[in-house]
Amino acid sequence: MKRIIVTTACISFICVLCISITRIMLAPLEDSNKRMDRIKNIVKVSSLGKDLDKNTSQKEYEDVFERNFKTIYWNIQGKKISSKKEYENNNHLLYIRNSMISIPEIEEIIPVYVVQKDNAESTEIIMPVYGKGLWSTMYGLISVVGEKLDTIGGVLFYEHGETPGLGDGITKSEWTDNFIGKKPFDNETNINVIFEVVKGGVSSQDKDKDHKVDGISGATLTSKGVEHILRFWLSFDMMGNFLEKIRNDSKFLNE
Amino acid sequence: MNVKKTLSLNNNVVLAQILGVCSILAVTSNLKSSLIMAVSVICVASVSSFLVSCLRKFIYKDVRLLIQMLIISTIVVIVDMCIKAFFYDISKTLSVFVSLIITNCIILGRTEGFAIKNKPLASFIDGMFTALGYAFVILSVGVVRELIGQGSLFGVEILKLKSAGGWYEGCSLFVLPASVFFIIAVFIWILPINQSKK
Repeated sequence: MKRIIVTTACISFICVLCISITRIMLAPLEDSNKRMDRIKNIVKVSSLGKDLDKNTSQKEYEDVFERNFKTIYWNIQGKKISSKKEYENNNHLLYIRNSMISIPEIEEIIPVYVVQKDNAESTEIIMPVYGKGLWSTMYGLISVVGEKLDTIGGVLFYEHGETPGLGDGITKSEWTDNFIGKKPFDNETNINVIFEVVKGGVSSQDKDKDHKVDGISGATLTSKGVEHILRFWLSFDMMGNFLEKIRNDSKFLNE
Repeated sequence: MNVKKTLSLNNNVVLAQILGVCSILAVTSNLKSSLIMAVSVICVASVSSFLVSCLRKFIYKDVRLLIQMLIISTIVVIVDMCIKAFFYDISKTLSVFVSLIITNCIILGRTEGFAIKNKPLASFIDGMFTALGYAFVILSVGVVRELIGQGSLFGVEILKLKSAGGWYEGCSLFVLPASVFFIIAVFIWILPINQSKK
């Protein structure tokens, strides 16, 4: 009996040791892969991503990102964080009750990516978003463009666990392209989010069709989840505040 | 140890014993992920058979399944980490299924049925050839599904699709996992498998 326990414990220990060593050796590679993937998605959702296609190499994505994007760390409480280090040290979880995205806690500081093109006539902001769909938390990026930051430039979801074949349509460009050019905010104040994902499709006579997008058929709750994500993250309590600061103060981004 | 017998279609794990079909359903929609799954299973099956066989004197009867699972899962976790490090794009779709190799009955079947009673080298070869049989099926299914479903192999266009201005209309049934049942059934029907012995 004792022998069984000792040998079994020894074998378990050796197994654990093997896994730990491999993990330590491969972790840097995996992390850089993850970082590259993030960069790729950020470039893809931006207006710069339209010129790139399948054959674009990782290196080119990285180049485009280094040249054209500036990262700003924004505390949702309404503060800009000056450095990456401060972001890493002070990133607490914030408890939010009964939020639209059905997630009890979110990260307090959000990395926002600002596109800086050579001939910049308008601003472009890319922000990470997430929220519950039907089964899972969906992670994505939204790009907001225009002089008054009132238009969606692109939407992209890169991680989710929605139903294959139905809900996973959120990752397909056939659907996410519908968002391009839509106006998430109301026309008067440009602050309240009135965006809607409509079950069954938006009629072409609808006078509010700029604020609406067709839902995915067979994936109503996933589509609603996307609507909630947009409404939540663009609201004044979250990133709307940040967008409003940029609208009112053109130097805000360059400080 | 009879190599010919292990490799013969009559003993093929998938076609004759109908084991491991779950993972075939999941990953064969394109050839690239099929290939990586096949290679992973070959690695895991041969190495775990080898290790179980090496340790067979220390594996007590009462806890043998536990220790076999421990060894198999260790190897699977290591393989999964390697895929994440070197084939990140593929790992995003495949990672779940690679972890599921742990529960692939082929591997535990070989360690429990063969490796625990035989010498390390023989077990290694047995595990490898059994997994080769699995690889043969998973790759064939991958070829059929990708070619008929999407008109390509390894993502390279073979039949020009209508949506790209060609003539071929991809059959969407073959993109869906359920098509594997039909394909495997057709394989079992066509290939000369002698099942009367069973």
